[in-house]
Order: sequence, then structure tokens, then C-alpha cells
Amino acid sequence: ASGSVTGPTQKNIQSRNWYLQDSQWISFKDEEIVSTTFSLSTDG
Amino acid sequence: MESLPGINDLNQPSAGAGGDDEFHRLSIKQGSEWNIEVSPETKLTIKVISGIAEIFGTELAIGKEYNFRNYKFGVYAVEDVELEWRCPELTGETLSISPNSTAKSVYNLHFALEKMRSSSFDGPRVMIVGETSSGRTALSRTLCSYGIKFKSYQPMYVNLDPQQAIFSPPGCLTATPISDILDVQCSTWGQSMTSGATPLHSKQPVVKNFGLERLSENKRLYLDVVEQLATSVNGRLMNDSLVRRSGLVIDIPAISDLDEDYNDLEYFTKQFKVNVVVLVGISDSQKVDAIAKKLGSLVGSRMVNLPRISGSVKPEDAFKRSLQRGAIREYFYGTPDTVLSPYAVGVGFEDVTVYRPKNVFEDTQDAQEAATHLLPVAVNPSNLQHALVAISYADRKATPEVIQKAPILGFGLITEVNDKRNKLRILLPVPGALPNKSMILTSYRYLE
Ligand SMILES: Nc1ncnc2c1ncn2[C@@H]1O[C@H](COP(=O)(O)OP(=O)(O)OP(=O)(O)O)[C@@H](O)[C@H]1O
Ligand SMILES: [Mg+2]
Repeated sequence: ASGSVTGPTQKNIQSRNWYLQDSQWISFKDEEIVSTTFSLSTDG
Repeated sequence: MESLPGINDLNQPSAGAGGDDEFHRLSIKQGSEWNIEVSPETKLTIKVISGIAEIFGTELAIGKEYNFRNYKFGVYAVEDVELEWRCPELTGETLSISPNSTAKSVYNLHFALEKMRSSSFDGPRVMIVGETSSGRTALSRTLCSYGIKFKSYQPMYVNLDPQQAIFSPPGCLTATPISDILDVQCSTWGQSMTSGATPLHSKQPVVKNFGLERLSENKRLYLDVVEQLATSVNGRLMNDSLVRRSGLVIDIPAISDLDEDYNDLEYFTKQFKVNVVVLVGISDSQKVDAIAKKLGSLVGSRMVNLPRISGSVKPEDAFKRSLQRGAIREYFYGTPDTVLSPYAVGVGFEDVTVYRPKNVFEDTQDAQEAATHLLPVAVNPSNLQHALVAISYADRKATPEVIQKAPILGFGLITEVNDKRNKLRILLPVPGALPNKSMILTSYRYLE
């Protein structure tokens, strides 16, 4: 996969999140960050 | 034909010649490092064929293409490495490959930290102290990468140097649990959280805005922001036993930017309960002794003295600025691997409330007020055009005292200020209306 291919119609339009408040961040568990192996332009 | 030095080389098939956009082979012997500078105008692609290659402690996958732009870094061969590279601006003859003289010490340091992790619920809290460009950040990054490589730890990286942008735009102090592999392609170390899927795990930093460029512009404010960050970090450590056991890697500003009596070092040490101090590239033994004396009662004998990190170079100011610009662009637009869509909103002048931190060199007349006191900013082109603003969690009516202590939601970029129509255009990282919150002007400008 050549990294910089930006398809004309990307179906996953995403943006940065707002930062958490400190109190939310203090109790955030990094395990909640789900594995995100979705198919960009990779095979599969 | 006589075999004159160099002549035969020219006749060989162009292995490693470069200067074109073809793939070239390169072998790096175990223990050596390829030191690379990629300019913003070009792109370097690297693909490892065999062997273990690391960039700042993160191992490269075999057969995967990695792309680099505007970046200075080293590819270190843990074992003999065969790789392919492609870059129109590099030629095979000028590649710089040399033994890495500090890799072993870094490894030993890592294992000492690992020992602390396995023997206590309270892991190492390491503060990295050194001269400018001595490789403090490179060392921090390698220690974080090693910390997750061999065991499932989650060390927290703490960036106290607002001039470098790591998991954030510049001007910030951040703390980020390193729960998964770092992105070797990014000088920002990787992505902070997005609304969707990213090829690698995003990281979840806590971000504090300092907003000025130099600590000396408002040292009291800086120390206050450090304290705010430390409060959150200590709160997280109480709540998160894995991060607590894994410990902190604290990357502080260059020692030349701190006070000469080392009170700042003592302050950081107390704020983050530092229990290991690593000195990098401080050859003056009087300095070493003075630091040991200042911190000895707090950290005891847990002080290590390393030379400059092998491969680190003194970058031009222009390069540092380009990294800062790149980090602002990346915050809104992402990277080629993770393209982000920011959102532009149009608002009236009356819809925004903007403050700014004091700059002690410019705001000399109202010195009687606290240095951390925010000042109101008039909404006009000369103040706000192209400015990066922090958007506070505090609402527009909040007092400056409340705003100064409030967490930040994120950043906006003011792309247009029209004083005929009293309208602003602001680029937001997240789609939706402009949050009804106070903003804090930073010193950073970005022209799209
Ligand atoms: N092994 C290496 N090969 C090539 N370049 C490197 C290597 N290690 C570090 N560098 C580069 O050298 C410069 C200085 O390194 P680094 O940023 O780690 O030092 P620092 O002490 O944190 O500097 P600063 O005072 O700017 O914070 C950086 O541009 C970095 O990318
Ligand atoms: Mg640094």
C-alpha cells in the first residue's frame, strides 16, 4: 500500500477529537482505545 | 584497465547510487546506525528486507514501506540489516553510517528501569536533563519504546518543553501514556485521538497550553502550567496501576533555558516525584556535582550520567520551526496515513472572547498583577490573523482566573479576520458549531 493515496471519496471521514477534561483523562483506560485495523487501501 | 580507486565503483550497476527515484539496497552492520536528514521538499521511503532495525527504539516491520518527510532520525541495526530505500534527494555515496556509541548505555539504562518496574508498584519516574540538542527527546522516545517492547508496560511520556510538539501542536505541555507502538514516521511520535479508525493505536494525551514560545517570556506562568500538568499526572498514577508501575519519562527543556541555581530541576523533581535523574551530554563536572547536590536529597544515588546521544545533531532554527508548523498542520489535517477533515466556521466578532498570556518583555507596565493573569485581546486582524488559539473548557463569561486554570478542549486556527464585515473564519478540529468557550491566543501563527 503506498501511504499517500487519498481516494477521491474516502468513506471514513474522521477528525481530531476534543481533548478530555483532566478528570476524565485521570480515569481513562487506554485499553478502551479499540484496535483500529480497518482497511485503508491495504489488501483485505 | 587499471583499477583506479573509485573508477570501478562507477562501473558497477547503480546499487546505492541514488539521486533518482529508484529503490536502492543498503546493508547496515549490527551496532551501526544510518543517520538521516530528510528535507521538507522530498520523501524518503524505507523497506526492511531482513534483520532488526529500530528508529528511536521502535522496531521496523519487515517488508512494510515507511515514508519520511522533514525529519532527522537514525535507523539503528540491532542485528545486521538489509533494507531498500528510495529518495530523489539522497545519493548512495553520501549516506552517513557509523557505529552507535551510546546504544549500549541506553539499553543498560532501560534494563535498570525494568528492574525497578518488576520490584515495585511505584515504577521509575525518570527526568532527562541535558544541554540543547543532546538527544534528550531521542533518549526519552527510545526508553518509552523499549518500555512497551518486551513487557506489557505503559510508561507515560511527559513533555515539559513547549517548543517541541509531541502528540500536540507546539506551545503545549503534555503527558501521554504509551500504551501501544509509536509511529516511526512521525516527529510528533504518532496520532492523538481521532473520531475514527487509525492504522496504529492513537494515544490519549492530557494537554496544557502554555502558548508562548520561550519560557523566559513568562516563567511564572510556565511553572504554573507545569503544576497543573503534574496534578493530572499524579491523579492518573493513583488511578492506573499499570501506568504507575511503568513509570514516567520526563523530557524537560534544555538546561540552558532553566535557572542557574537548578531550582527548576528541583521543582520538576518535586512536582513529579522524580526518583531517577539521567544527565545527557553534560561534560562539565562542576555542573554535574551541583545538580547532584541539589537533587541528592530527593533522588538519592539514582543519577546516571550519559554522553550526548549518538546521532543527535544541532538542528537549524528553521528546522525546528518547520516541525512546529508540521505539528499544527497535522493536528487539523492528519498525516497521509490518517487523513483528517477539519471544519471551518464563520462567526461574528461578538461571538468570540479571546485572552492571552502576559509576555514579561512586552507587558511591563502592569507588573503588579500576577504574572499568570490573562489579558483580554481585541478582536482584529493584527491580533488574530492566522493565529493558533487554545479553546478552553471555561465558558465565555468565566473570569480570567478560572480560564487560566481550566482544561483545554483543543485548538482552533483563525484563518480569516474581516474587519469590514466583523467576521472571522476559524478552522476547528471537530465538526460542529464554535464552542461557546473562551479562547487563549498563542504565539503560533500558521498560514495555510
Ligand atoms: N540517531 C539519530 N540520527 C539522526 N538524527 C538524530 C538522531 N537522534 C536524534 N537526532 C536528531 O537530532 C536532533 C536533536 O535530538 P533531540 O531532539 O533528541 O535532542 P534534544 O536534546 O531533545 O534537543 P532539544 O534541545 O531541541 O529538545 C533532532 O533533530 C533529532 O531528530
Ligand atoms: Mg527535545
